[in-house]
Amino acid sequence: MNPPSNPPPAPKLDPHEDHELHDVMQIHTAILRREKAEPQEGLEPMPIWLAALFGALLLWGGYYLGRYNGGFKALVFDEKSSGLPIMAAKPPGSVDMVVLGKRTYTAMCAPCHQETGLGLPGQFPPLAGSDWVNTAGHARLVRIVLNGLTGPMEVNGQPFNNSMPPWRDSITDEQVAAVLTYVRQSWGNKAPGVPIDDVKVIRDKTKERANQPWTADLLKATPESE
Amino acid sequence: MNSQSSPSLRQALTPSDNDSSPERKALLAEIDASCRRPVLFMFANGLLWLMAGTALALLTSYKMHSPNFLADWSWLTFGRVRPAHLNTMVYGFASQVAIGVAIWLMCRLGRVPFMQGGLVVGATIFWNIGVTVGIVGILAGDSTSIEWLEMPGYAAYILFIAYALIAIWAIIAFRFRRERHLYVSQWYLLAALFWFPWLYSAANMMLVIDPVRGTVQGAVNWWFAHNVLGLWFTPIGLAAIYYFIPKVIGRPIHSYFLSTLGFWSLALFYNWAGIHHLIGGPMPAWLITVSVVASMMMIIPVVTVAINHHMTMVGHFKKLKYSPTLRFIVFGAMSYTVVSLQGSSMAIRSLNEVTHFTHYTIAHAHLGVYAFFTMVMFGSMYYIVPRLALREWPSARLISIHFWTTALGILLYVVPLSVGGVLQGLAMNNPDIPFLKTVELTKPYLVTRTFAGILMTVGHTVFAVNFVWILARRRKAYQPPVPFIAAGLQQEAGAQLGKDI
Ligand code: HEC
Repeated sequence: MNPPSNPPPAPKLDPHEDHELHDVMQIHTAILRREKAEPQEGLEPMPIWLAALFGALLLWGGYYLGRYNGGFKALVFDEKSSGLPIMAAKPPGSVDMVVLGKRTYTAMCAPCHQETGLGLPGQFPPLAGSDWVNTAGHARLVRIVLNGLTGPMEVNGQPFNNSMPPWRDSITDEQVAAVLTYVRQSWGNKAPGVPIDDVKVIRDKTKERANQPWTADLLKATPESE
Repeated sequence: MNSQSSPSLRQALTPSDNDSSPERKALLAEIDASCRRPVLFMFANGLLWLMAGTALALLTSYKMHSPNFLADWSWLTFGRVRPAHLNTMVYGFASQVAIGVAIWLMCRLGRVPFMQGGLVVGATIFWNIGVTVGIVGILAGDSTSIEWLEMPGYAAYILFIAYALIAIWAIIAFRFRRERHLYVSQWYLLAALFWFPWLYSAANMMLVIDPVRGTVQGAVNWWFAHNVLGLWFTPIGLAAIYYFIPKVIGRPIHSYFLSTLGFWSLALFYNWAGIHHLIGGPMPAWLITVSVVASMMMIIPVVTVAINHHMTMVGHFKKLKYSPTLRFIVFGAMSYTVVSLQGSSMAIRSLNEVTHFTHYTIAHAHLGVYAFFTMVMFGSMYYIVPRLALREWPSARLISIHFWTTALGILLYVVPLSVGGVLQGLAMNNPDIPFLKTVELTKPYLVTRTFAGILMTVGHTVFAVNFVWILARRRKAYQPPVPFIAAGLQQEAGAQLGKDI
């Protein structure tokens, strides 16, 4: 750095300070005289052990980031999981079948069959304890939900002659499986659940019926398990 | 670093013209005179807020063990007094004094007088109006309930504009510096002057003015609250330490390379560290992990800076006896090392599980803001004020009382409260201990804190008295400086007397 041969002019001091300047110089020199030079920097090298320490720290940092990053997923809150098992067990979009079943039942079935599953005598047959519901196979039930049911029938020995609308176009396979599983396992019913895949198969098989409802006799003619 | 036309690094680092030349001294006198009004005005206001904040602190501390005290008036309930204390200290005292010190250092190191002192005094008045509005707002029940940003939104606007009007002149002083070589303090100051408005405006935007949703608020909040310490107070504190240690002992700072490493590693790592406050909270795991790693990486700048300061001091420790500046500054520098390493350890998950939500955190915060930052600011003021007021400190005894009450006060505050905090944390993690028991367990430590607070209050009062005294004193042509310690008088040769004040 060259000594500044012509330093830039000092900005003009505030005029109020001017008359004080003499004073300032006089008293200030006393303080300034004992003041040491403005600080400077030495050039000692960095100790080697320090570099080693920092290297070790960085190494640790890398390890820790890898170990506890929860799979680097925004929705993983457990730093010890790699994130992967959770994702695999619960693929995105999967839902709790019990919750979905109950929700579907309340929205689509409860107006007729009632929240209690008891139906209304003479109009809507009961699902609770029904000999149609508590069966080993579930093929007929899936058909009822997809296409509806009409005409005379007996449930637990009680006669009904009304009709239930088809749901084929407004319900997903998942919802059918969920709602039937719910129906088959609530209010004291103890029949096995209904897998989604079976619903898919039956929906394909009965495609040509479109929205035409079943009659009790037609259903009786199809085996319980197909 | 500016190295134009420099044949060697050593020459680039060494200001070429001799500091002891009469022209140089005259320039320093001119610089001091230009800083006089704005900087003394900031210091005076800062000390007023310090006294107010101290009163609020005592009240808060007392309420912690005697909750019925003054609990009937909503303005003085715990939930308002505590944030009022924090905000007076942070925005009224610490930030204001920090800006004053930063301005003076910028001018001194740039060898350029301060411009527009009058305008800055105006902006400072505006800043203090902002703080007043904010504190009254908090006490009136208008707090935002966001830690470190409790001041209502309308006060935040005033503070931001006032800050911009003040800081711009410090940056302009930097722009027109005549000394081309940049000393390490200047890096920290310049960075801090930009970091603060970034933090403050971003956090206010995202939390107060147009709040983000859900847990993101927590992340933004701790990003801000943690960075105010690390990217605003810390760099200014370090800038002061880097300036005053070599200045007072008259010896260059140990190593330029360590200075560089310390600065850049702080700039790189600190910003990531804040989210460790949310360990165990509903935050993505990777976010917290990154923050834990960054907190541990802070060991790099801290150890680097500690070595740099220590190696500069080595062999000069006896000067602590005579120079109040050095005493406060070195106390602060040591506290910086301790508080930072402690902070890194607190980010470790297994430790955090114990200390989080306990008084341990409070003790840690005061070790940082008080034992480090405030002590460094006290030390800086002991050096700067006589040069601006053009008088010597009237009473060495008061300085001595100030040092011992605050130094012992903060130790008495931090050590017992940390112990109490750990016991409290262990008790809270033990499901067999009812919650009320864990509260009762902390009581002795809370009472101790109130005593520590009284000690510090004495120190602050004494300092305020000395400050008013030095300003109000009639200026005589020349008075010899008061030696710091009377005993030193006899030991040292006459010429040495009080030389290092
Ligand atoms: C519009 C009213 C109505 C709705 C809505 C309705 N059903 Fe039906 N359901 C009936 C009627 C009426 C019958 C009897 C049909 C008949 O008499 O031939 C019946 C019969 C049944 C049967 C066979 C008889 C029994 O009681 O076991 C089952 C099973 C059944 N419904 C299930 C469902 C399910 C599951 C849903 C919801 C997806 C549903 N129903 C929605 C009216 C309805």
